[in-house]
Amino acid sequence: MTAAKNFLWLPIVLVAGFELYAASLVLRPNVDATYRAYFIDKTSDCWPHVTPAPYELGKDLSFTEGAPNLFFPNKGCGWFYPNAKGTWSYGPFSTMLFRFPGEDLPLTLTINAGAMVDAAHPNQRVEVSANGTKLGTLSFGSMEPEVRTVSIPAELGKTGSLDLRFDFPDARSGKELGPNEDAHLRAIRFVSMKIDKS
Amino acid sequence: MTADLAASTPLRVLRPWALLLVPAALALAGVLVRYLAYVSVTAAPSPQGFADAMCVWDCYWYGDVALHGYQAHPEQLNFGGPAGIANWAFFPLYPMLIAAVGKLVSASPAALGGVVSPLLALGAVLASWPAFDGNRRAYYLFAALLLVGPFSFYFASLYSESLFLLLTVLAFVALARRRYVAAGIFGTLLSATRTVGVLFVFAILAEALIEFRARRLGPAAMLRELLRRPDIILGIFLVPLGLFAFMAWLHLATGDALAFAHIQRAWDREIVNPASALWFALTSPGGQTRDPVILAFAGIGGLLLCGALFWRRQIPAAVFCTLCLVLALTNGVESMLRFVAALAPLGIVLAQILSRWPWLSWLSFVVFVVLDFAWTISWIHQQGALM
Repeated sequence: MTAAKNFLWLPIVLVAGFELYAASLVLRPNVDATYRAYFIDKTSDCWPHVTPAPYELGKDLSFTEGAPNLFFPNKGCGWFYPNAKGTWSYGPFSTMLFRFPGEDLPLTLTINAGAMVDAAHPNQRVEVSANGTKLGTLSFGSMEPEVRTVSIPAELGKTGSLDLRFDFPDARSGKELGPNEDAHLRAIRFVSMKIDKS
Repeated sequence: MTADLAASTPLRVLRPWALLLVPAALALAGVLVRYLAYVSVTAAPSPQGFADAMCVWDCYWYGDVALHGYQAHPEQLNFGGPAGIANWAFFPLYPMLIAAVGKLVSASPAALGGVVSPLLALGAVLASWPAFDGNRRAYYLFAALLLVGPFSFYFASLYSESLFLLLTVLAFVALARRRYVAAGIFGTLLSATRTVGVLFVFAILAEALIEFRARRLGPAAMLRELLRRPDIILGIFLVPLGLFAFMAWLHLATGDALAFAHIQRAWDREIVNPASALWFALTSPGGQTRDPVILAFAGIGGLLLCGALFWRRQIPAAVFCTLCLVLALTNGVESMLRFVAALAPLGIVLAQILSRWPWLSWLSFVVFVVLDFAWTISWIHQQGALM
């Protein structure tokens, strides 16, 4: 019986050795920088979706759960789950991608959105840029949706390819505001958006 | 219940077989109740339609793993949340079993799950008999709870709960007999089935401590004794083997051994304080999780049953279940009803409590069947709390 039990030390060494090896793999992940930043280090809130991003000028994109013309085909990154009232931004910035037949005309970006505001923080600024060019800063001051517009110069619109970026310098977390333990930065709840000829 | 009946009639002849026949009959009754529930909400019912209707939420993921294995990268476009999603959060043993059965029988994963899972649940009931110390009424009530009870749809669809249930029962039966190596082998399979399976290592440690304390060993003597007991040490090392094997595979397939944990971020799941998770679910019910108040009460109910296990001196099971629930709560209250339902020791202790009086046993049985019908409909309609 004792001899049989002593024999168990061999599988113990083998199992422990394999487990030590498997545990060591945690220390040397073999992944790309984007994956590492988003999933492992969590230094980024932007998971860059890959999409052909088709768009027709003038089409109203919805950010409301279950609505037609949902924004998903144009989603870049930095968006939470849609709900009945819209879609919250997720992190310090969000992006949207648009590919359309280019026209040498100025365009107008129209945004319908509410903001995460309270008495102590009455405004949320949104810095809008397209293809790296700053277009302007919008200000939202209500939880209820408000409409804001930004002009897009013709030289950007004629490319037929717009990568819009929305930076949220006043974004705050649900944890900071108190309603829940959510540590993510939230700023704007988008309801709808469109790009049209001016 | 049936035990009382069998003792006073010619059915006494069947009594030795009743331990097998009653659960088998309850399993068939469960299939019938769930099918009737499906028929009651379906215009053109069919067996394949039944399997498909029962295949909701994570069922898709288990089917995906069974058919295609694990993804190399997160999906490029998530039509929902903030990041690309992947199937790495779904542990391999159950989908491997479905894939293996699928090699023998040509059917969709949903249909295979609809057959394999109830058989695993029936196996869990049959294997649990030693845990009842001869209390037939409690045993039959536990069978009713799993096979024709309020949560039976979890154990009758393409979800890993039924396998986890069976392995938990087998592991604790082995541990109660102090067969540490056998318990460790079942622990390996547990940790390859669900994340929390690895926590069975604490159940083995608790049982070993109980054994040593019964011999009035002090801490130093316990350590010396442990070194003379390779069976206990092997049992302890075996439990995480399933998890580590999955990690090694994930490293090969994705480059990230912890991909199963990291991908939780794609569903926006972050580590939270378990007590805060319960508190916020009860006091701030808005947010992404549906029906958080019901889920919080499920978590509290589960923890109370853990308390009942401690009260009954079933320390290894109590430790295991408490840690499983606390670990699950670190991701919030989502899916808490399912997590509580799949912890076999909690179902066993609940059946032992409810079977104390015959009238309560019968009442519980009727309630179980009614809820099985009603909640199967809720499951088919994807009511949030059941997720």
